[in-house]
Amino acid sequence: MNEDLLAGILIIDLSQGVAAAYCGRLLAGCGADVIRVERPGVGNSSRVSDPEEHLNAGKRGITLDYTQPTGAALLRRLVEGADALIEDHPPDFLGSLGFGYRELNTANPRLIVVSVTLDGSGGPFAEHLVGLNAFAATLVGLLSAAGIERGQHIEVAGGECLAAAASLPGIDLGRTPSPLLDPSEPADMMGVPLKAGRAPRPGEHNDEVYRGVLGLTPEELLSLREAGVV
Amino acid sequence: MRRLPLAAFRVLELGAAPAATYCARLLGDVGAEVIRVEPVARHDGPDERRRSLHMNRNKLGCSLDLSHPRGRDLLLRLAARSNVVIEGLAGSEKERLALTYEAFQAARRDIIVASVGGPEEETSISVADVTTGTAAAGAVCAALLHHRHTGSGLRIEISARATARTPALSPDPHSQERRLFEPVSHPDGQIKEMAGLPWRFSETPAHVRLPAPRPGEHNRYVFGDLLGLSSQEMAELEREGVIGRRDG
Repeated sequence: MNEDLLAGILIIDLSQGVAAAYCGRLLAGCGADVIRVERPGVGNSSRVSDPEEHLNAGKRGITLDYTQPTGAALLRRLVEGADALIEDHPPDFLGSLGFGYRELNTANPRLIVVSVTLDGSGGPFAEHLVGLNAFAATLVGLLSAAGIERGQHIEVAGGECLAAAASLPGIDLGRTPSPLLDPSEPADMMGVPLKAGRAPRPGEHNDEVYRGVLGLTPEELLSLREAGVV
Repeated sequence: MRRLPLAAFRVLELGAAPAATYCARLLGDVGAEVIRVEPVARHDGPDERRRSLHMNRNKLGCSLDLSHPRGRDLLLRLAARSNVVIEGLAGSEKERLALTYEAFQAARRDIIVASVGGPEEETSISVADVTTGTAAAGAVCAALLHHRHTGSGLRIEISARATARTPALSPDPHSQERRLFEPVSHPDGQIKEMAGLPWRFSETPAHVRLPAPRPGEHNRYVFGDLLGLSSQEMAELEREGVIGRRDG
């Protein structure tokens, strides 16, 4: 597959868990510019237990504490220039920070917001299946944005993705694909190689994103760092 | 009614690989006009028929003998009027029918062709077919976005990964929310509801809107309206067995 299918498309990746991070990874693998946003000094939870190298390969990484007002203002500016935002926070968490769908849509009326819900009990295969669903749904949303000339909110209901698959008559649930998230395996999508890249270290691309994309001065960036915002 | 996300696109589907069938279903679910090309003589058992009700919802169906030169020609004429071809033909069949990417490209320069395969001799659906079909649907949408920016088509080849027998998928019964299931009306009344799409769109909600087609149900639309064949031509093609009889 052409690895630059999604050239010029900017995705903000706020993923915490595996499925949403995998969605971002697939989009990056198709050539989208995926900016992974992590909390400074914390890292996202998917770093703790999962093969982050495969989940985040090919993304740019920034740190940003968007629970602080200054950080929230920066996230809003990133959102203004983005095509899609992927998130898997508990319901209402983003809303409590002023990033509910209504506010995001006001900041960028063409933005596609994809919210992934998965309770984490399904194991690696569930994460894989739901991540693929989120990937496809994001692309459907990006295609729709031109047709309806506005963005929309797409909720990918993880438990329902599993139930929908299980409801197909005659499906053999005892055979599953070898998990894509196995760290011993190369990252691909069903045999199609994804665009190469490695996972960013936390904040690795702070300079190029904050200065290059948002136009901050070195002094501004330094003071944000000192305040613990980035 | 609000426009569905992929309402602007026509997708031609052929072949029997379940991953390809599932891929086309997802594209139909989100509003593409999916035309499924089936063999003229189908002899499905009850299990296949029941599965087909789920796998082929939100599609139109036509019947066409691809091994007949006129059948192949009609297929390529349909491809010329489609944005995407999803093919799940077995390798040997593809070779015999010479339905290569180049053949479709000759019919339409900017066509997107997705070859979606599964393990050979597949007799039932596996979870790998669902994941492969979902990945392929995403890849087709990525190719459509790419086409919007460049005007170019391309080929996509996706095959199911090897499967392993594992204690695998056991969806939490509590997560099988009732809102997933939607009522459907089938002419034969075989099923009354099925799982809808687990993606909720705020602006372009997608639902089960068409039951799976009966054999050749949309032959008149596909060959008459889209390709412009006259009633006489269609009757002649029916007599020759190139296209199936409606409800045949």
